[in-house]
Amino acid sequence: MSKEAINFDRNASYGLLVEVAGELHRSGLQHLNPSSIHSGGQEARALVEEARERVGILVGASGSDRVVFTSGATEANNMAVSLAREGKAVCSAIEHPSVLEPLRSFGIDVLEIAPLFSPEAFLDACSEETKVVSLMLANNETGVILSVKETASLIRKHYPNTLIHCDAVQAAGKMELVFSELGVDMLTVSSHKIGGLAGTGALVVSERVPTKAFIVGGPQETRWRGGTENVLGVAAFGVAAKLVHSQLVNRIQSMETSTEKFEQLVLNSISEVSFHDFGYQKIPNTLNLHVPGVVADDLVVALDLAGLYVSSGAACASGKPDPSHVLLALGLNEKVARETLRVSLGAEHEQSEIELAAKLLSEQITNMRKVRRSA
Amino acid sequence: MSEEALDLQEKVVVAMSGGVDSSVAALLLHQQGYPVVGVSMQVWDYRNHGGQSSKATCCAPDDFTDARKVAASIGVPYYVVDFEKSFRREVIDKFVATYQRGETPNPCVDCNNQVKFRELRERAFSFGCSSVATGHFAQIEERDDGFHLIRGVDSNKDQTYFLYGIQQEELKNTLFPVGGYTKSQVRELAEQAGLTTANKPESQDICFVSGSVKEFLVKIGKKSSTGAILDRNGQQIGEHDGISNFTVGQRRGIGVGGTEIPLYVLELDAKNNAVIVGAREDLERESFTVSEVNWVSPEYGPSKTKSFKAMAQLRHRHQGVLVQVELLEDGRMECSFLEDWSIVSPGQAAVLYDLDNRELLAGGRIQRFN
Repeated sequence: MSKEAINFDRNASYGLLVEVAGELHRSGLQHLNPSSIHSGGQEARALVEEARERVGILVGASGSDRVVFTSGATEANNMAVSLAREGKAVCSAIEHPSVLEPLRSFGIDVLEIAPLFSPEAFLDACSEETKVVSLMLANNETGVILSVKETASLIRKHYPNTLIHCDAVQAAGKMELVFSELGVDMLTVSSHKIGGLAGTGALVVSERVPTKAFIVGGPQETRWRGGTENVLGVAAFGVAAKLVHSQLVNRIQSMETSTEKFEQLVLNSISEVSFHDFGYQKIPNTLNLHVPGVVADDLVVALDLAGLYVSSGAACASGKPDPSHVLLALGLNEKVARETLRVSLGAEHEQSEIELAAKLLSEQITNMRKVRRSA
Repeated sequence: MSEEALDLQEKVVVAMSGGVDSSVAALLLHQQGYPVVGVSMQVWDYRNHGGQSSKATCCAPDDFTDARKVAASIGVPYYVVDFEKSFRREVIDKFVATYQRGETPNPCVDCNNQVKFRELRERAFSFGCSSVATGHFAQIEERDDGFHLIRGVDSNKDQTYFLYGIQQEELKNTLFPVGGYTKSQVRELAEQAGLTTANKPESQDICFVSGSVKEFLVKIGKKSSTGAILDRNGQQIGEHDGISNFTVGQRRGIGVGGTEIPLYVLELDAKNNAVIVGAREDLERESFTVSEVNWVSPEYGPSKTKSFKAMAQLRHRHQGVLVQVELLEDGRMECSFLEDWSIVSPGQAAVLYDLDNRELLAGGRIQRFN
């Protein structure tokens, strides 16, 4: 990453927290197998268990809940969803692809509910045969917060055998998160989204979820997930979790301030742009800027060259970005979706950085409009 | 649109296809101190029409991976940018329509004219970059009167034929870094720099067609229908499977055997879906007309001399033939063969060079014969 670039793409990856990097250097990079009997293994084991406790605290888990470390949120989501194999499932239409794709391919009969649904409407889509429902807490593209607690409560009442999964990847570190009060059975979190290293995540499971390993081949994670634990990654996760949780209120405040400031500067300095309001509450760091007449994908490139990191919806392997399924599901038409930029801030921005970012955005939009290309 | 009105940096967008020529173009500019921005142009959605493999075509996802690797090893930013709409409109649609008219299209010319040197340039400006570079084997000389487009030093690889549509304004901020090198020198430079594409085979034929043209047309929903192969007297002597499989002047692949003399395609009759064939002499003409003329050299043009001699290149792999050029009132050019005649295919590009066959003067499309 260019040292001078401003990172307003935190929802893609938060960026390694300085404290995490520091702690990793302190504890060293050498870690042996936590399952080994010898002292080397014991040291590694201690690190893993300490991290486990910290992630549990971050998500507000209770004593009987289990934190299962995985290779990331995608694996955790795959694990949760696979419990609906050969059965029925219900989810929101704006779930992350790591939830939607396995739901569509594990022989699951899935119903995707368009957002702006009421908990009752979601309930209507469920039945006795619904094995798993999946509802993200905060959406990665827009930041919108879904009514997980209310919906979970209804489902629990009517279909007590249905397992409820919540993807809290974007929620963790940006809003209050208490697993034991959400009323869900499984919760996904990701390390690199809260300032740890990519390659580690966790599925938090309540005790009523029957153990069902997805990655099979060892007794690790109390038989939930085979394979030698990624001690370095897990340790980083633990440090990030501790830091983020202990400073949660301040971090949320900082994000709110930065985002409001940025929004204000943008609206005051750039004509004919607007921030989408999807009619939901949002996490405090995410904004979607509509720039009519400008292709967001091109703006992302121009801004990168100018030193500001942002994004514009999903980029896919063929090299050609498709319009965001989330923006479309939330009611934007394809043209507007292609003209929408996602800006996601962190909790450590200086005022000067916010001002510079707004300035760069203004300059690039102005230039692009002069060149006058239409979407 | 001039770039002075915009506030641009000196950055150069290098169009990277994933092939060795554009890889070395990026490398050379970077070595010369230009801030390079590597861009692959997504012109075709391979998910809907084929797949990953870069074997016969260009700009498939594998090619992007190569371009990305090269950009990373040089140390420059790299982006894949969407040009699908423009490519479909300016290249593909024209390609299909031209065949259906009974003419042979020239998609590479259309791509260069509209997509590479207009659209890409505009996109480069929108990224805040002031110039565009490609891996074309061509050279630009700046003189007092303006910019001159010169053949690349490797006469075997020269690609100026496809660049005849370029404007002075575009030449001003276009760079052709490899034009001064031979192909083998280019490969050597790539190898020395350890670029992954040093030994990559060249993409053959048209970049978006991976089988035959016929297969392509079928794939995109335009069927070709069988029709008659006629001789000059209108007698049917065979059957063809689609006039888009033929070009005027073509000798091979006609599929009519047992004649005394080799047969050539004389004409494509789109209206009656017929291919008319005859002897090579039947193709002989004294002259041909060129329309949609673009003047490149600042020394020539409608306000300059109306009559001059030039070397005319009528196909990609054509040595060139001496012609007398007369400018018509309406902007077209009438070209008459001065020594030998050459086979002329309507719809193909006719490109004029100076008598040294070095500088590109102008170019246009060969009109249908009356």
